[in-house]
Amino acid sequence: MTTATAAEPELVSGPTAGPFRRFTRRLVRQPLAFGSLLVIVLLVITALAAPLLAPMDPNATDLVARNQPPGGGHLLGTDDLGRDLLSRLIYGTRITLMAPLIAVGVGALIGVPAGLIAGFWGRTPDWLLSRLADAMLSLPSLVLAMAIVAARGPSTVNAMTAVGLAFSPRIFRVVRGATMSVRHEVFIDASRAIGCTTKRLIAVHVLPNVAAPLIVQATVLLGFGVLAEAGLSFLGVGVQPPEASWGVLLRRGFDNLYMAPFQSIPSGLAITVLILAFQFLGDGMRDSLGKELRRA
Amino acid sequence: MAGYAVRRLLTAVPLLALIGFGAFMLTFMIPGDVAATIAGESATPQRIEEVRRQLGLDDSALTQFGRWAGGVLQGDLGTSMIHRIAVTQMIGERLGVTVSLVAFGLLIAVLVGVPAGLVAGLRPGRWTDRLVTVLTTLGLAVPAFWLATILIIVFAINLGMLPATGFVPITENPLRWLESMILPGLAIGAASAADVARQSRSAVAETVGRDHVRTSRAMGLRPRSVVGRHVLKNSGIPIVTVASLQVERLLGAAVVVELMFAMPGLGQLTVSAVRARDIPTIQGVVLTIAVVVILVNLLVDLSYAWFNPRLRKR
Amino acid sequence: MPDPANTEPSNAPALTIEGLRISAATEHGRVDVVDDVHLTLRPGRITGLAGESGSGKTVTGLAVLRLLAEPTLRVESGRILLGDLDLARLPRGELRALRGRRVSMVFQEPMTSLDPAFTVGTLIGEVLRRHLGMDRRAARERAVELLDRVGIPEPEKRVDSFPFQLSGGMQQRVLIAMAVACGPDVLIADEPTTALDVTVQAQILRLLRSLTDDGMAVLLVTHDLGVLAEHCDDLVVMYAGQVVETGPVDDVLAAPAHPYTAGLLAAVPSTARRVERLATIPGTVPPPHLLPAGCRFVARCPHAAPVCEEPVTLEDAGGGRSRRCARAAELDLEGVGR
Repeated sequence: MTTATAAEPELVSGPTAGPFRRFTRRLVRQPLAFGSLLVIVLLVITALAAPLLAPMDPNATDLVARNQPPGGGHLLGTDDLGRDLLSRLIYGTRITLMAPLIAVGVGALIGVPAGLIAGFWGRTPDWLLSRLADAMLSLPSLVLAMAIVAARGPSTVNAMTAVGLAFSPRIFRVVRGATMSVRHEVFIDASRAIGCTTKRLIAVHVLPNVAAPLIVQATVLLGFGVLAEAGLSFLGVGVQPPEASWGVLLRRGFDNLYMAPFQSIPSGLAITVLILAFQFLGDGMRDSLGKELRRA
Repeated sequence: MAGYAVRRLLTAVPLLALIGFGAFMLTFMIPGDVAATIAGESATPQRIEEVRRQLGLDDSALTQFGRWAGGVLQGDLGTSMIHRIAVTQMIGERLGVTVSLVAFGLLIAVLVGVPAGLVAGLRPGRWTDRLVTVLTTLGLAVPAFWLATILIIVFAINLGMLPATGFVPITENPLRWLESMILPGLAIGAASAADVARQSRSAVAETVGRDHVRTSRAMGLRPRSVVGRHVLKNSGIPIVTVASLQVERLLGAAVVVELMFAMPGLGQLTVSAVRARDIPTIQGVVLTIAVVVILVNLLVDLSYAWFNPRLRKR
Repeated sequence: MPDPANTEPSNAPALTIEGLRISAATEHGRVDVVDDVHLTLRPGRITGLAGESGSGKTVTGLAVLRLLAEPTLRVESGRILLGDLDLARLPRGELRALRGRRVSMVFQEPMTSLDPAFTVGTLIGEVLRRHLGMDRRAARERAVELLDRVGIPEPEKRVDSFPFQLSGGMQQRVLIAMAVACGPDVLIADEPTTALDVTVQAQILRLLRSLTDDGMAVLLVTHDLGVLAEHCDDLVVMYAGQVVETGPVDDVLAAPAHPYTAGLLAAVPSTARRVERLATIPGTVPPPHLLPAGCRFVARCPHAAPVCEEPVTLEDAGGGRSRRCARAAELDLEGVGR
């Protein structure tokens, strides 16, 4: 995890090697992080190419071949309606990957502006927004999301928007911290002195410095998003049938636990691997950030 | 000390007020005709009107909030739309189960996590340290509900050692209660144990290198006292902090795991309330959980004074 | 405290170090940072262990209690004799029973060397309970007596203080009280006054002196020659990991036998001798991986000669003195009057 060293000696470090290139090079040298990136890319390809990869129609029921064990005609077996579990797992990749993106997107949409405001202006806006973040963080994300789903009604988008709202204070904190640390630097004062507008200041000076920690935090939150989607779908208040995500598959497997315990294994394992991949990638990215990008 | 406690208590007030306001606002997030939605699809117009009156939806938002907040302050969280029972009563009946499950999970997290962190932190870089690192990474990635599934498959279905369902109140039969707590406790506690182990490891590794630990050794104290008293107490604040953060995590996991083990706690209540869009119940659950989390944080802050005497005498 | 039979001044050494060699893991591989160290501590006497930073004096002090940061630092050979016991080879458990009871240590930074989470009484009491098997109440009473003994005013009140509530000097007194609580035969004091004010320094050193009345031997590690001249009975000078000169303080100061000692003395402003300008020894201590085969001081020595390229041993010079210099017999080095 953190065994890979952050302080790799620079083989090439001329003016041509920008911070981003150096970052990528350091990231590629960390086997766990790079492997995780590959896993995620492969899953994205799987999601896109699901119709080509899936051996069967994921929704085709076969009441004769119900609860088949793995092997034979069905590599991962069938569920209680005789649907091919491998095909469902492959198609499930789509929502499973899309859901955390929605959550993190919504979280960033709220958290980034709020963090910029709090970090840049300080004082009262900062105090108010920080208290709001504290309040939201004293509830488990899952419970906060469930409360909102209760009001808006269960659906994939509603559930993940709610999760995004629950994520927003975490993004807020990172952006606020990064903004504050840039804000006190000389060049901001200098820019002010030469008459830069606040909008321009934020766009030119603050945002680029906030980007690095924000991307790391977003990656970590994608992992939590996978967990949240699976949890909400498991409870039946997230992704709604006939749509299928890995969380839905896991729930179906759990309902069938005494009949066919094996149904719970592939989807649970897939969720765990995906969460691990986002975790390793986030750790690796954090370690790869050079001093020039590492803030907050 | 007393002054510190009071000041710390006061910071909880705006937090609770904000959470209360947010919970109240849930009603306004319902799309379309709130009364119709809450009453359900098959409701008669009379029923919809009844709901509207019951919720006081005709009044202004401010009046509604004032009425609701006034009730909350007197311990009245409203009436469940589904069960037609006071929310306070429903929560009261179920809180004990959830709190005992969370406490059990926390106990597992501390009993496993702190020793694991100690073993790893006392000898950084050793194979024990690496093993702990691998296990904590895995522990943090495995979702509680999948771990619960596996635990049920192994211990309930294959080995038949422990029950997968059927919660027994501690007052009825303490031994059966313990049996019914082990699997769900492990399921929700594993990730917390991993987190506690990770933080304990770094806290212990830092403390071991301090001068005063060398003094303890120079005075011939046994390793048991050096580690158990001097290292542990000085690593206490980060360990207690991370342990307290687990309460939030455990409550979240408990919601799912209670359902899996058919435990009549807040989780079950929440899930059924979300499905039925029973807003008053949800509001009550949100407030209750927030109070529990904030209360724990408060107690933890006060415990810092025990670990660091400087805070006490200021 | 030792039983009355032991308070008779005896000539038996309290602690002897013979041929101690300690290696350290560095970027240049394992190198010796202490080599061929010999020294003897006698009951009731304070022995000053002097040298520049990097001379190996602190490492030597820590090695006596086997408190080296292993595996970075490791004793390679030599004996550390406490009576019949070789501390360098004693099983860990037995060694722990001796630490704090027969051999004890106080450190340079009293502020960080006392556990901030416990009261002074608890810290002292813990040592008493560990070694003397006292119960909580007896240990507390004894802790109050010890605080009184080390010169802390209002000991009954201070016993319940936390370290951070005390001044640096008081903290050092507490550390000393812990170290001498069980009446050890040997106390290693590693620069105990470096972090303190000058006025407090003298008080602490006088306290150490008064503690030797019961026959305790003290090894006072210091780089301060003023402290040595004022407060020590015997002197051991180290240079680049080796002992270069030993002997009674007054004799060594009056007529040093090693050019390095003479150089150190010349660097100290003295009231007895008018100095135009402070003499300093040119150059620096060579790092452990670049030591010459012969005398280690050769590159900085004003008296260096071809004979100094040969290895040189620590040899007895009579009168309780010894030195490590090939030309000692022919040199007439200037000392300081007192």
